Amino acid sequence: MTVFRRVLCLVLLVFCLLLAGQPTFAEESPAQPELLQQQNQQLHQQLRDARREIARLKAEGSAPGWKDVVTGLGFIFGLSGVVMMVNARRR
Amino acid sequence: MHISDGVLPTAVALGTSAVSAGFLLWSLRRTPADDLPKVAVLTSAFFVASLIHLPFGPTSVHLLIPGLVGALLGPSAFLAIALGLVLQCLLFQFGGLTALGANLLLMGLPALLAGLVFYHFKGRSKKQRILVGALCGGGATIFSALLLALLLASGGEDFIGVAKLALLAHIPVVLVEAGVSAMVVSFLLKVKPELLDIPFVLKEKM
Repeated sequence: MTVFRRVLCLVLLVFCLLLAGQPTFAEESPAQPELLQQQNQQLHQQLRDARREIARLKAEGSAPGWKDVVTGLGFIFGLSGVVMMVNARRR
Repeated sequence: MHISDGVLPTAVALGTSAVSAGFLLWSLRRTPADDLPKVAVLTSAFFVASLIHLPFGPTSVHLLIPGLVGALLGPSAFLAIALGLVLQCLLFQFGGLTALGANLLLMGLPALLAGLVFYHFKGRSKKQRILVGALCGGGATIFSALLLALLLASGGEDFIGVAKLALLAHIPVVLVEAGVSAMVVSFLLKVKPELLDIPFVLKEKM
């Protein structure tokens, strides 16, 4: 009797395990790769957008603006002015 | 067409800096005090010209005008380009301080050569002056590209490959510079022709 009970318990346990395990496997296994792929694609797209934005900002930041141009021109004429002044004093 | 920091081997960077310093001193001694306003104007033109970008395929190239500066300034051109490059390097982050000597040679030598050629071949007639001006403008850029390839070859690059690439990328610049130089020369011929008569003296005037 005890042996039969044990076997029955074991069979029940295995049945329960199968019942618990099967539906999850059956339902999620085909859906998961697709979902992952979709998420992956979305993330990739977002990453690419972010990278493009960074590159744009970098290009924008490194391009010389009007301030730099005016500064440079001021330097050139200022320096030449100083040299001319020194020359004029020497004479 | 600027060489960035750290591209050239240290020995080449130091050597080009020394040679540039020598040329700069030479140019400084041949710049009369009365020419300073003209030098300043062309320095600022050279400084600003690099901001004019021409789209070329995926990248863009910018004007250089060493030929025009050389033709209009003669021996003083090296001084003008040195000052312009220092400011471009500091304000625009073109090239770098360690590569300044190499960049200076890259632009300065074609400018001096253009000055020499313009002085000897400009002739008397207007047409010839305009033509020689255009040739100086375009030729200096080609010479610049070749020097770039030569300098990069010292850093271990393949000379022929870099030269081909540099020349190909600067075809539009060469054409535009030839046009710009011709325009400036013809304009100056009408407005102030004496500006084009710069003596290219190799001996020092004391």
